[in-house]
Amino acid sequence: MFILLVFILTSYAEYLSITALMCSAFKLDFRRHIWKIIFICLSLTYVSYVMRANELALYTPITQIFLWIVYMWLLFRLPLIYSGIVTVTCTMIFAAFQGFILFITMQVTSSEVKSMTITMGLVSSISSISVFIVANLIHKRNMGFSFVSEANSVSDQHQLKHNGVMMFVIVLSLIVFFATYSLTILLGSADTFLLTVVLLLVILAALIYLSTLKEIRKYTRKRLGR
Amino acid sequence: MLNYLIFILVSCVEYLGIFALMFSAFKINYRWYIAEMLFVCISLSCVSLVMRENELTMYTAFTQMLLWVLISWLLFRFNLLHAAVITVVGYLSYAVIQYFIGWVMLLFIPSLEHMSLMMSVLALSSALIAFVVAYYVRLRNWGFSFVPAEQPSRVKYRDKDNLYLLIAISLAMLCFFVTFVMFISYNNNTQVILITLLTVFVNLAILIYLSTKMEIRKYSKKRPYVK
Repeated sequence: MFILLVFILTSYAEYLSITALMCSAFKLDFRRHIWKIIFICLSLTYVSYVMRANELALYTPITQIFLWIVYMWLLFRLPLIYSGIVTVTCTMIFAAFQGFILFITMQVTSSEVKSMTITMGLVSSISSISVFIVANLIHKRNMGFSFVSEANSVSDQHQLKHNGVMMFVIVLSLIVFFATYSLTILLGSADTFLLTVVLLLVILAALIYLSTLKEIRKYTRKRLGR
Repeated sequence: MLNYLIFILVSCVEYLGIFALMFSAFKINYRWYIAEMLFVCISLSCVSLVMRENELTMYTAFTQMLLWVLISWLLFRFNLLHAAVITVVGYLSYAVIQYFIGWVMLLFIPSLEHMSLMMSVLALSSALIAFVVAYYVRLRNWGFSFVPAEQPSRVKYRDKDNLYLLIAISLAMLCFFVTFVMFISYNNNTQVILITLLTVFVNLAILIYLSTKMEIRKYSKKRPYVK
């Protein structure tokens, strides 16, 4: 029962930190969406618990990412492509953080870290706190992207047409993430772990580069008055 | 696996039937919410399946109703009270239809087992009747229009009518939970189904009466005030 409580609390904190990162990295107003954020975090914790309890841990992260994309699309009312960008980028950042902390923990304890243990709870808490700090830093320095908005105006609709490369990168990153995560779960070695973290960093670099390009394009368009 | 797939499909059809009842009873344009409706149907079917498989059938209907209220509030952007009214009226109307068909079926067959062919027949026939009722309500323009869709609305909870509505909704949910627990505990007993059907029907009648009062108030307020 205690472990279950730790799992629920730490998972909830994880999802909250990812949402904080989404709101700061893509300048979304979290005050307008507080109840929605609570609902999303609760339901994702439930999905995670049910899937792990039914021995479907392998498919948990990918299912959650898909579910989160749908939530961002329907609850936050972002266009589908933007919800994909926001969700995949922030989840990958969190995964990179957690992967790195897990790798260090594995090196220190020289044993495998299993799901639903106190050690995993500690790793989750540390990664959540780190991501919260990063989100706060991004918010304070005003470093986030502002191209993500509800597709109401004509310019937004126009922007939506030029997202082929972004879509390709999102789909590729999801496939790579699923493949490396499966390898890590199946083999459980430190090498596969390191490979996952490195691949995640490459994916992240590509996603952030493409987001920066979109941001630049948004403002150059405005200046030209198109 | 095939059993689960059939269960999810049949449940989705049932939820669509409830949506049809909700939207026609409160004059909401369903075309605005197609993606949302599909999402709600699939996720509620999964919740139902997981709860039933983990021997939590007793709490399924109540959990779903609560979840549906939350979803209507957050996803469809109704006010919380309006979301509760729409959901509970839609859900109870469907429950009346399904309990009635279940009662009639139990007069001819010995039992209705979970995930059986007869249960699917019951679910599909109730969904079909719900669609027909919803279509008829829409055709006759009988629905209520006091629930504003796609626009922010504030409800004064201290207002007498809203308070009555809130109490009626809470009571209806509580009664539904108690009768559903009874229905599950005394499985396939026609008398228990009849009691459940009557309780749900009375609750639904109270909610419809209060909704009618709200509707009258909405239009009477627009008329010029004459001493």
